[in-house]
Amino acid sequence: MASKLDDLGRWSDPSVLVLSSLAGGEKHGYAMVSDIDEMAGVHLGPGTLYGVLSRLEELGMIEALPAEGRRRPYRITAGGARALEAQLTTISAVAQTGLTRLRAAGSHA
Amino acid sequence: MSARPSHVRGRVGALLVSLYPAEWRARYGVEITALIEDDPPGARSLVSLLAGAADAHLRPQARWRTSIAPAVRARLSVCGVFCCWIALSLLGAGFQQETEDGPFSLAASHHPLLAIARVAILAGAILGALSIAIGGLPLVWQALRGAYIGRDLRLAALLALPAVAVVLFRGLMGLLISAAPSRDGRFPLDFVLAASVPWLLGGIVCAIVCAVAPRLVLARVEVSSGALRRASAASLPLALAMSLVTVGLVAYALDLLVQAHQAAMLSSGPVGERTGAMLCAQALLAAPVAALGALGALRARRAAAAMA
Repeated sequence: MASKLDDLGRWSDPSVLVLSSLAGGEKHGYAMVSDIDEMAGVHLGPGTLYGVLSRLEELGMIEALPAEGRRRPYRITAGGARALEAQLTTISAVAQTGLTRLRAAGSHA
Repeated sequence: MSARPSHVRGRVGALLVSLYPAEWRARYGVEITALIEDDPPGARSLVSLLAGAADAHLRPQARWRTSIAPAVRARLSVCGVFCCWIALSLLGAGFQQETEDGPFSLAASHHPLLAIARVAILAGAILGALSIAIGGLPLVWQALRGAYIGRDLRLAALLALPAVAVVLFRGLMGLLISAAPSRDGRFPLDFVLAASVPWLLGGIVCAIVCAVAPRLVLARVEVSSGALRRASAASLPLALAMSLVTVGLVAYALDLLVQAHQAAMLSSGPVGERTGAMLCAQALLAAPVAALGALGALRARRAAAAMA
């Protein structure tokens, strides 16, 4: 089933990473990049990060908090948390099915 | 290891941020610059910035698009389109200079595509001039009135700058031609190479002055929303004119390059592969300028619609 995040096309995967990072608490740009690097081994470029942030903000999945100097933290909204949960549930189901089938194929081999 | 490369990459990154739309920069510019300072971009991040800038221009989001008033957006976009037209006009002048000799007319009479391409360039130039007259002249008139009523000498000087720059550039070209050792249509290669440096530098300075002065004028003077809407409307035919000129330049250059050997046999004039290659270079420069102009025209139209 396609979720709201799938509608973002090529921005869908980095959106999951950003929302997952913000699920752990509010963060500004550099903190998100570092967290995603640590969590998934993916280094988001600044163009990709802000492309995602502007789209998620547009969709109401995240909200910008008052700026702290030149850095502005972002926070996940309730709608963003729901969309992330739906997306991660789908990914998890696919991963579970794939692993089960791989194990079954391995035991037959 | 020295910190210099990351410092340079940071500077390049900050420069790439300036390619984003003004509205985007008003919303995210400070944050992304801070991120670039914290995490100096590598080659992939620089590509990510370039792709992000293109995406922001092509698919603007409503939230940040409204961070700048529609009138200001229209003004910036119209300025951008006019700048593209000025750059393309200089390329067109180069084309005219390159192909004004008799042998090119002879070559065109033997190759219909050359003739058609020339007509397309001419049609584009006429359409562009009409669009500028309809959209640009009312803005110039309002600026002139502003300068006169407000006794604003600086504004008057800014208004006169493009004309002065073009006259000086034409003077430089005249000087170079009069200094040429031969006038039979064939100039020695070392002269062409030596003359191309001041010609190119003069052209670049002239283009910068012609592009920056109108922008400064529009930032200094209050223009009516009607004139701004008319200028935004005129930017679409202007973008069409730029496409026509570019298509004509590409077709002419490629055809001349393909037909160079045959065309050169028609006369003892300067029709040859070198001219074809130079025209190809002009066409290559014209294509991104026309694309930027088209993008600016679409943005001007959107801003004008939002003003209503």
